[in-house]
Formats: sequence, C-alpha cells, structure tokens
Amino acid sequence: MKQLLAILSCFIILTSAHAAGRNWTLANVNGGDFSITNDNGGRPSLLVFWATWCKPCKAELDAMKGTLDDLNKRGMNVLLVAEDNQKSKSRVKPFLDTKGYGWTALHDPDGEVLKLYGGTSIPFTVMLDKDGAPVFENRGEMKDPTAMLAKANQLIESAGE
Amino acid sequence: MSKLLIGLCTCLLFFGTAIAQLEDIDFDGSNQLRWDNGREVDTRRSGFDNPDNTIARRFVENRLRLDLFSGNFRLGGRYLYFRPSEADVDQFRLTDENRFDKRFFEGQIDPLKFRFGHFSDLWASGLTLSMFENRDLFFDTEHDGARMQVEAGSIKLIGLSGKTQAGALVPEIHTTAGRVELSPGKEHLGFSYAYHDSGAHPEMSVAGVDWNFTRGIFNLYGERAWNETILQGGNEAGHATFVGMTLSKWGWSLLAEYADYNYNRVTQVQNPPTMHREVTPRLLQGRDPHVMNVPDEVGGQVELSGLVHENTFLNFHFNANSRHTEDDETVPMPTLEEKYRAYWDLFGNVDQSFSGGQQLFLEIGANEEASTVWQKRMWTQIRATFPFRGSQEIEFETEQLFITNKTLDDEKYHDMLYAMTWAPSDAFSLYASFSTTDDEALKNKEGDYWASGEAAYKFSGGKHRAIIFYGKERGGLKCSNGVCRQVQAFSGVRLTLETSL
Repeated sequence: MKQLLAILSCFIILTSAHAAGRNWTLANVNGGDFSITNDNGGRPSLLVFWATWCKPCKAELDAMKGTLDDLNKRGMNVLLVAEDNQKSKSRVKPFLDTKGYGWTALHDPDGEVLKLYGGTSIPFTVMLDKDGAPVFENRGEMKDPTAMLAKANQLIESAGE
Repeated sequence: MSKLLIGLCTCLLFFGTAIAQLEDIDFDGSNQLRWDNGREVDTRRSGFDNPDNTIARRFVENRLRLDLFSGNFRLGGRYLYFRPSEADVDQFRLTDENRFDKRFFEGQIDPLKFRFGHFSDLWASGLTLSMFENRDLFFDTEHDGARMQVEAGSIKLIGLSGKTQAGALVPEIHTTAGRVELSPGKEHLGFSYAYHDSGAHPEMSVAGVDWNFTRGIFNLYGERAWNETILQGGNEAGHATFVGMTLSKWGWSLLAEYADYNYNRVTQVQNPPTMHREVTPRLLQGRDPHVMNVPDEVGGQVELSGLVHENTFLNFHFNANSRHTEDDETVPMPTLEEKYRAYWDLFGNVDQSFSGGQQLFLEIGANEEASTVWQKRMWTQIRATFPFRGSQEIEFETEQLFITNKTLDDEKYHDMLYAMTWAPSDAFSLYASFSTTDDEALKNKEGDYWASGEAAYKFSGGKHRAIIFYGKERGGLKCSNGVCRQVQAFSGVRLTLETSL
C-alpha cells in the first residue's frame, strides 16, 4: 500500500510537466552517441532489436535487408539496436561490417531501451513517429512486413507534407 | 492467481483513468506471464533413477512493467508475482513474491540526467562495474539508489550510489562509484572508480581505464582494472586486462581478443567479457559448457568471418582459456595443461542463402574442457529452411554431439537432436523436437529421450505473443550474460504470454 501511495504521489507531481515523450541516448557501434530526440533528424524511426547470438534476428535482418534499405532511403531512420551484453558486444561491429548493413547501429547492453518500449524478448521491432511516439510493434521474427510497411508509408508521407 | 488478476486490473484501471484525464502524460507497459505445470528432476533425490527422482513443478511468474512519461521525466516500476517451484525453493532458496519489486524516477534537466530507484549499468567492458538483471536465472545485481550523469560537449561525468536487492543468489552489495568519459569524435577514453562494501565480501576498491579507438578499418578497444581488497591481515591487490581489436575490409572481419583476469577476489557487480562463445548448440549447452572463473582466468579468442559470395557467410572461431599457471614470471598466456582447467573451442560455420529464399546453415566444431568433468567433444549442426506457398516456411534441424569422457576411461557418448518448425503464416508457428543419447548415466537421471512440441501465436498486429510448450526438455547448465545456473530436466506444460499494454 505504501508503495502504491508513493507511486501515486510521484504521478501527481509529474502532471505539472509538459510535452510527453521518451528520451534516450545509446552508444553508436561506430563511435559517438545517438540521441533519439537530437539525432533523429525530425524523421520517423524503425528500431530493430537484435543480437549476434539470436538466430531468428539474423534471419530477419537478412530477409528484410532490401525493405530496410528502401525505408532508409525514403526517410525512415533504420536503427539496429544490438542487445549483446559485454560478453558479445565486440562481435556486433564485425558482423555488421561483414554483412554490409549500413544502417545506424547502437549498443543497448543492459536492455534499457528494449524495456522502455515494452520489449521482453528479441527479435522485437518498434516504429516511432517523428516525435518519438511508438506507433507499431512486432514481437518475434517478422516474416511478412506488409503491416509494418503500411504504417511506415503513412509516416513517411505525413513527414513529407 | 486471483490476487494477481486483481493487481493487474487495479493497475490498468488506475493508469487508464489517469491517462484519459491527463493529455501530457503518456504511458507504456508490458506484461510477461510464465506458467509451468509438470514434473522436474529433484536434485535431493539424486540416488533414485528417473522417474522416481522427479518432483511436481508448479511455477508462476508474472512481470508487469509500467512506465509513465511526461516531458523529460519518467516514472517506472515493475510488479512481480512469483511462485517458485518446490525444487527452486530448495535449490536456489527462492521465495514467493507479490509486490512492486522495481521502481524508479528518472529525468533530464540539461545537462543533468538523473535516476532514483532501481537502475542497471555497464561501464566499458564490465571489469569495474556491470549491474544487470537476468530473471530467467534469478540473478539480479541491479542497484537501488541514485545515478547522476552530466554531459558537457565531449566530457561525460557519471556518479552512482546504491545497493543490490539482497537475495539468495546475490548478497547486499553497497556501491559508490564515479566515472569520467572523454569522447572527442568517435574516440573514447574512460576512467572509472568503484568502492564496494558488503556483509558477504570484504571491502573493495576498483579503478579502471578503458579505451576505444577507430582508424578506418581498424578498431582497438580494451579495459584495465586494478582492485584492492581490504583485509584484516593486510590488503590484497589484483588486476584484470581485456584488450581487443577488429579489422574489417572487403566483406571480411577479424576479431582478436585477449583477457587476463587476475582479480583474486571479485564482487557480483563486476562481470567482464568471456573469451569464448557463450551461446552454443543446444546439445553442448546440456553438456557442462565452459564457465569462466572470473577471479583467475586467462584466455583469448580469434574469430574470422566474411562473405565469400553475396549469399555465403563464413565464420571461423578459436579460443583457449585456462587458469593462470604457477609461474608468474612469464607473460600470462592460456595453457592446454589439464591441471590448469584448460578449455579450448574450435569451430567453423557457413550460412548459405539461395535465390528461392531457402537457407542452409552448417557448423562443425570440437572442444575440450578439463574441469570438474574432463571431456572432449565434436559436434555438427545442420539447419535448412524452405519457404513455400507464399508465406509458409518449414525448417529442419539436427545436431550430433560425440563425447569422449576422459574422466571415465574414455567412455564415449553420442547425443542427437532432431527438430522441425512449420510456420503456416507470419503469426503462427509449430515446433517439434526429439533428442536422445546413449549415455546410460544421463538416461538413468533424465530418461531415455526428450520429446517436445511448441506452438507460438502472435495477435493484435504483433503486440501480443502466446507460446505453449508441452513435452520434456533436457536439464543442464544454462548460461546467459555470464551467469550460469543448473537447470533441471522438466516435463509438462509451459505457457508464456508476452503482451504490450
């Protein structure tokens, strides 16, 4: 009960703040940081959560390469968020370099950003509008991207207006 | 279960009503439910043969996460409903939970970022500090306290103070730590200091320096840590080094890493990288995979991967690890001598895609571990995937593992696994698996074979996923995130439900 009251109190305090949104920064695999609010270029983003040890994640990336390239060209930030922890995170860059995946790749070694969008396992895909609000998500391997593409097209078109 | 449902409904009602009334507040949440009902091998009855060595397994875990967002602020928490099985209670000393076990408040007022409550963190490669939670293995080093971060240009300052939630597997560890990160451009240099105090461990201070430099195709990274343990009879010093490099060119990458962990003593919030592949074929996972001995281990790994053709991905790996030899005068290098608990691993695999969407994965490997169990192993793994009739897909998989038990006069075993997955659509898939062994000791403990089926279904546009498992799964040492836990063989039903709110 005490915990519930504490949360309720914080909730009331929060109501005085403005402009809802999520704010996170992750290390870029190629050096430097990436902030979803400062570095998204005012464009919608597609977050693809994966790891070098995750077989269905890698299968999904292979199968979706053309789709993701196309979305990236049309104005969607394609962000590969690697859930490799310190045990395997050094394998992320060699894997991406070898595969020729040129999308922005980020390290999320303790799963904080995965949890931020309600992810409990990978593969997990989340699409954000230009303000950072999640508008689409998919749990597990995505074999049919039709629904995701429909939402992406909407976002890209509205961003271009 | 009724309390759980009431809790869930109350939370949903509370947050739902609040959200409807307050436009500036956004919320997000997820729920993960796992329910097991069946039997598992009971380690207390190790003198009996299967099935008399089993005990009923009733297990429920529900993790409800809720986050409230407003501007640059977030209020979050997790409600845990947990009923461990009788064997879990005995083996891991787990207890029933029905409470908010995580809560935090975080915010950003430029240039300050802060978080009060529970937090996880990883500094560089984890030689000085690594705090995380792995619910599957009941391992939780997340801290309850405060974390501050100030960023000004290419300089970042981090400070934190807190303590772990004392549990059966992780003692209460109080940590106060600070870090400076310099990141001009893509280069990176960091300095860390942490002070740990615990009723279970002596007081310890750890200092570390880490770096990451990239020049074209070349990337060099690493960390060095020095720790000092405060003991009554005089302080004890230790050190740890991790260095790595990658070279990437023409579609090929070379990874080389070396680790010399000579801490003498460590806390559970230091968790450095392993020098071996942790996620291995499933049959190997059931055969005592290598567990790094963090206080005293030296090792290295080399991995070469590349594309020989647009659709052919190759990977070769070698690693060797051991305890330090008694001769400290030489450069610390791993040895293959049995008395130093040597471990090596050599494998190669190829992943081939075909124009029709088919995929073929082949792996062949060998390793040897001279630990509590001294075994030589060879394995093959084959996986073939075929799409058909538009969105349907079928996958066949087999693993063969050949073991020579050096501790039992070169006794030989052959473990086999056959599995098939059929995905009639993107939303629905069925999986069946069968494995067996000719190892009589393992048969006596877990039975002659393991057979299981699993159905997974996604609905509401991929926001929810339900997985139902029925059958028998093998026990063994399960490792994840550098933490390993003996998992007992289980037979029965398991339901997993993942959902977004």
